[in-house]
Amino acid sequence: MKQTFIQIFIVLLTLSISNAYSAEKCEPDFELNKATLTQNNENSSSDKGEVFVFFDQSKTMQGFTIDQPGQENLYVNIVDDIQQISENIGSDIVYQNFGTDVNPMEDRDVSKVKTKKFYECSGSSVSCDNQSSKIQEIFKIAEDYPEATHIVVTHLSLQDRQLVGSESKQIRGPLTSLLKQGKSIGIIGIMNSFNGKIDNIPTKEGEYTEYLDAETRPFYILVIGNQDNINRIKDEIVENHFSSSKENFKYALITSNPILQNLNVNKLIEETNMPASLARADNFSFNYIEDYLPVYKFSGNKKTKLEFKVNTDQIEVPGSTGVSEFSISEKVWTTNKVKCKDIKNWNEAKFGEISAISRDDKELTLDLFKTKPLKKLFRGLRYFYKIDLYAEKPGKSSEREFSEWSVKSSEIEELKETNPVSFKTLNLEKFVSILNAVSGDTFKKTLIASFAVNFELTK
Amino acid sequence: MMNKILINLIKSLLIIILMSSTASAHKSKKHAPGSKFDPVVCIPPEERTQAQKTSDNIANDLFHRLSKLQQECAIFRIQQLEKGIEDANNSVDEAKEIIDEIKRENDALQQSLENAALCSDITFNHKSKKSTQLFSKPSAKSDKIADVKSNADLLYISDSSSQKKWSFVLLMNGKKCNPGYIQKQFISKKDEVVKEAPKEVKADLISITKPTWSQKEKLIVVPASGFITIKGFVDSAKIDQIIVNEKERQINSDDTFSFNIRVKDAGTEVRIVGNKKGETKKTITFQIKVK
Repeated sequence: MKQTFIQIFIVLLTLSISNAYSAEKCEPDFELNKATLTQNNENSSSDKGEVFVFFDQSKTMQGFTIDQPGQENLYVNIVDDIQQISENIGSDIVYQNFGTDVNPMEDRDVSKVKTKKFYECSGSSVSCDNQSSKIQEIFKIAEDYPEATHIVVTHLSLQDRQLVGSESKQIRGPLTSLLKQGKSIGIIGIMNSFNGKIDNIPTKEGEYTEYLDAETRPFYILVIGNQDNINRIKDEIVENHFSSSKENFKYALITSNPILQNLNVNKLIEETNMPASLARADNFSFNYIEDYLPVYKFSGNKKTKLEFKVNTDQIEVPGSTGVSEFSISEKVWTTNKVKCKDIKNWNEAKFGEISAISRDDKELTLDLFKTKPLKKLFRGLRYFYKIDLYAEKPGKSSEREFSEWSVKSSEIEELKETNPVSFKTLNLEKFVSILNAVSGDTFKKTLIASFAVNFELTK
Repeated sequence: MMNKILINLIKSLLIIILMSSTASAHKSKKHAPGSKFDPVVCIPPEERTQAQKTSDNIANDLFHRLSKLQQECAIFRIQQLEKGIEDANNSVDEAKEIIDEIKRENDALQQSLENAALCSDITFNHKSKKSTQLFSKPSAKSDKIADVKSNADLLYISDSSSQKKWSFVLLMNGKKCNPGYIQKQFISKKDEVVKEAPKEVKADLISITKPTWSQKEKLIVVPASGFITIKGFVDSAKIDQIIVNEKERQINSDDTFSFNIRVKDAGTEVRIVGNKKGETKKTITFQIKVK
């Protein structure tokens, strides 16, 4: 009998300890909406997968292999790098060339990619002139082999017809499928010397012309696969060629989720996210509830400044579209007992919109009690205000990144007439915007951070 | 008496001589061509002496006739007019001869052109953007071959090896072509022509056009492992759906289809099923092997 009592006592004691925070009622009862997103690194398996490398063999690519006096030629070295990185990240490397069709490459041809000869066209002048680069074929292959890493080296000049109607669907469809599977697309742009012919330039009469006087032109490396591999390739290229200046380098990451992490999961919310003056407020404390929800507890007045700031670097995946719209879910509870030990009940208040969000390039700011100011609240009460911060819509930062190197089909003829030394990429911005639109469609509202302020509003 | 007889005889002889003789003046190198007199010399009125002018006035006013000088000038003008008509006639004859010569040359050229290949059966892949000219060399200073009208059909052959802003083209001129050089800035490519499947080989319900068969509908050999685009077409009257290795593929408006397939080192099997209204009409199963 005595033993039974002891067992019951131990069970009761255990239960009372585990619910200690609710017994004191210093916080209202609420359900913690815990995020599962840790670090957004997808299926970062250590296993090496297959790597499919596609070299654009259209004749215009020849211009990247021929040195242009006074201009830096990185193409040859970067093709070398890609071959080396592919060997490092992949267990099985398969090389192909593409243009109108995709064709497998013999080993001896792989080394020729850096030479002018690789791009020479043996067909008729009709078939060799103004060759298409059917990038959509690569997306289709990537859809069929989502576990592999696909690396594409191309000039990425796309005709209008490739970006509308059924041909556009051939990009959108596979891309949607890939993004839904958690894959991403990295676009690495490199402004390089160019000594050749830029063809397939559409004219206003619906025909095509060419340009021969460009001395520089960008080429691109598209990487479809896991973010880890994409970043690895990007980092290696940056380290090898752009460590001192990134003037001729651009990068964008298209992913279904541009959110890097949830700040609560890794307990990245700190005292310093709030103004330093708050830490000097009466009865200030900063603690995590359930090792998840940070609570700023203090005694404040109507002048207390409550701004929660977080660096966007902590939230957004570097190089990704970023987040264009954030939202908050907010709840307030009140009690007339200011001391925790006296609190019996919390009452949920219906305040409506309370705080406002603003952001700049570096920081996201939650201006607490901006819409419903503290001076309009009853003094002498204790308030518990809990906020969940969400990413609502993906941004368009990658479009902006590449807009400088992009030219619309309606403007390319005028560009040519100006005899530019550096030529731009046809419809690049439109291509990136299509990728972004697809990533927007696959984007899901994501919880970024949750925190609460528990304060007594003094007179 | 004797003297009288002698005088009468002399008179008779004189009468006979005078009556019988015709004036037969002697020939001279100074004579005007085709005449028996010296060429007339016209002294224009302004160059005549005072005495000559007085003589003119007397002849005109007193005898109401032309003076000798005036007659000579009138004859001279008549001769000049006659000569002009003759020259004109000669020019007409010469012109006729030139025209005949040109006709003969034209006939010869026509004959040579008829012996040349016709260009009417070629797809001209380019057009001229503006009116310009076709030259014999990649230089605007070289001989002009033809005027090129705006939107004229051109067949692009090659870029000039020495002048990168010039291209060698064929200019369509009716059924014939004029070869020559044109500045690149005046060339533009026509929209891509969708090549329809050749009708004569449409007897097969499903045909593969690329890569080529090593053994028809059994084996294709490729140079290396990796992805390859397979292209073909269907007889759309009998096939409305293509399924390749259990995945449906699009049939384009020109009856063509294409798909990418991965060829592994050990080879890959491809199964193409052609359906019409859900009913299988044709199945091809073949191997793709690496050489």
